[in-house]
Amino acid sequence: MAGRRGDLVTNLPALTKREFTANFYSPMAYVIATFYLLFAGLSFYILLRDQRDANAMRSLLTFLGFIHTIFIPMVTMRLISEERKSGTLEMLVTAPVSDTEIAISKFLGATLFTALMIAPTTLFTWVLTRINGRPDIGMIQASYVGLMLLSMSYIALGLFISSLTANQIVAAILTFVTLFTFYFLVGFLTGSAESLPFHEKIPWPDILNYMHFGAHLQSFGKGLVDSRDVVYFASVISLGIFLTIKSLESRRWR
Amino acid sequence: MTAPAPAPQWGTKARFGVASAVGLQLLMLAGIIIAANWISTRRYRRWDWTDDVTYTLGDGTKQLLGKISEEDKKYQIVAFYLPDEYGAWESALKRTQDLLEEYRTRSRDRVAWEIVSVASVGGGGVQAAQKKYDIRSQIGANDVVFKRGETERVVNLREFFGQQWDDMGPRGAPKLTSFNGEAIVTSTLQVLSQDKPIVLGFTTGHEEVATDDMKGPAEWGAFSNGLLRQREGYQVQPIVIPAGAGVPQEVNVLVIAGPKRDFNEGEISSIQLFLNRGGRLLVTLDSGPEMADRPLPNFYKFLGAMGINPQTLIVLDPDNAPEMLVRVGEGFQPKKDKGTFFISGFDRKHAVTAKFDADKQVAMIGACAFFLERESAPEGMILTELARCGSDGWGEKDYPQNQQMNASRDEPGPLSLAAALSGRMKGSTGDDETRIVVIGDSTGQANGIQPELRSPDLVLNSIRWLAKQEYLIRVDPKVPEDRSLILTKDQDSFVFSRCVLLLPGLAIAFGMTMFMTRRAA
Repeated sequence: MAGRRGDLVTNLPALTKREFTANFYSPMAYVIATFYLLFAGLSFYILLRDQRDANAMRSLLTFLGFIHTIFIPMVTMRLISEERKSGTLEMLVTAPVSDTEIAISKFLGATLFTALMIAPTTLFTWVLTRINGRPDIGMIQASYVGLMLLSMSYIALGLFISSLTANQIVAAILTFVTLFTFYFLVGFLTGSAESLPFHEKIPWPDILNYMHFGAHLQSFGKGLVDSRDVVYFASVISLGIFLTIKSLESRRWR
Repeated sequence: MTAPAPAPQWGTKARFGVASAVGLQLLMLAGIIIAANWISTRRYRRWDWTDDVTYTLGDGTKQLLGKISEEDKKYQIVAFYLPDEYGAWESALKRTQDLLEEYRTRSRDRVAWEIVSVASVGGGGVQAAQKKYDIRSQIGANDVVFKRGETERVVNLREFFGQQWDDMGPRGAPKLTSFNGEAIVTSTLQVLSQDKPIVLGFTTGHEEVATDDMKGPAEWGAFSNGLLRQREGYQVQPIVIPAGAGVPQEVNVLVIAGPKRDFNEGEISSIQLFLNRGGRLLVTLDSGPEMADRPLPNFYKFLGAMGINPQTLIVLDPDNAPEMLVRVGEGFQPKKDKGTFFISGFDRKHAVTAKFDADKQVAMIGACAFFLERESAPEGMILTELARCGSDGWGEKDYPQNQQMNASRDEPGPLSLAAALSGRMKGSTGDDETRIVVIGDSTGQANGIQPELRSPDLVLNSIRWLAKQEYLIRVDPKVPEDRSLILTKDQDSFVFSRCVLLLPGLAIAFGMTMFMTRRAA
């Protein structure tokens, strides 16, 4: 039985809370967070030593965009796959909540968890000021906004892929391949197009470049918030959530 | 939570119907997404969150790019550079790249750009680059080529930025100390965008500074050729003023630069006629021993009628004089020349000087001062003091014999060093307002003796204002904030312990606590 549209406001906070707190019952979440913070901290330390510049945060946040292609699949892989495998999804879809609520709450739960995972990295800015660095705070804030939007896009796609399979590993690998393709491969094809022997055969390079996640993160990394990038990320998020909803609905008629 | 309801049975037809509906919804969403993204690429906004608004272009640049975005013709900027082992270009190129991207974005892709390492062009070298990018001008390895159709302009990349080689950044590369890219790119695009150049008519016949003088102390040859003609795109034209017949029609701005011989009455009436028609005039005057026995009574009388009375004195301002290294015996010693000083104050409202910041350094050498009499200015015209010397400076009337202020003989500071006059003259026959700028120095602006003190901005801004190109007057080069950070051993340990050890450690501790609590429960 699907929930009424008016219930969305009442059910969503409770469902989101359930999804968010569920992360803390699994040791996997702590393993992911530990490795993520270790990666981030080590990268920051190396970048700071190499660049000798307080703006190393800019490079770090851009680098984290790439690192998230590895970590976000680990966060999203279990979102629906696990419930499908354990059978709790059947209970959830027959409860008085709509598929839209399920999809959005899972998306928000994972987003909050990711935000919580990223939040400790703000300590790096404090560390910089403690050692007499003068980081560009505005640039860092814009970079965080970009990183969150990118992560939310990753989560939306990962959520959809998680809804397609009951196997968490398959979901993680498929999500990683998708994100890697849009972040790295498309970027490589468009960025290095001229040096490739087949560069003239690359179709619609402008469209391909537009679809490149990294290209939309660049402006944020410089301290610029561009409405085009916001619209792009919002589009990916909407598409991911919409596909997830349809994927959940399809269980009823497939 | 209630028990699961039995799943309804779906027939093939029903399934096909639902699948079609989902497909249709998907198509609609795809359509909305494509439309939203398409619209967003055409109508968008960018917010510059950086602390020093690094990427915010000046109003003049935005105005120009707005004009360019509506043009049919495209502009192309190709910046060539020769890589070096120190990475000297790294920070400068990054900044240039960011800037050019702003131009592309703001012009809605009418301005395309590329930064090319000459070494990477097939075959290598400048000639290969010239061929590949279809460049007809002679270029060097570090030149930036601006193209609009068949028209090309070339600027050296080094003019974009200042670097400091004695204070190295990472990997021994020099530090970026200033960035002047916007000023150069905008003025060059402005030059390319105009179909007819603005003509600066330099008067001749009164021992004025020569526009082809490449060696003299004023070095106006380099100034007028390199800066005014090549970079700013003005047409510099030496002219002779015919007595009483006005100024040649094609002249937009008349320039009288450092005259040492007086104008006759016929010439003065020609200049007056030009101004009565809404003409624009720039005057630079000189003072000092070489002018002592060369009075310009007619010309000074003409300026006096405008409310600007040049004085026969030389301005000395030791408090604002820079220390310069002078050879003494085997070594060098810092020394001040009282007659070479930086202007102490600028008018903060007039377009010519409004954008000079508090630290702006414009050098004057052997400057002449004026007494301004606002009530003597022609009716309908406003007289503004643009620049003055410090209150401890003075006008020395017995130079070089005396170089100490003498209250009974000399004129105490602050003294006016530059003035502007604008408005519609009474009885004016032109449609435009008349504009005049008088600057009490010809040498400091182009300065061939001490190039490090060369400060052409006062003259350049005056010309832009006179030529009605106020939008090209912009703020001084942005000085990037120094954010370099070389870690001491203690700082290194601090960063490592807090960032690499503390955070992951906390995550593990939190996880362990949760695990133990749950286990205990």
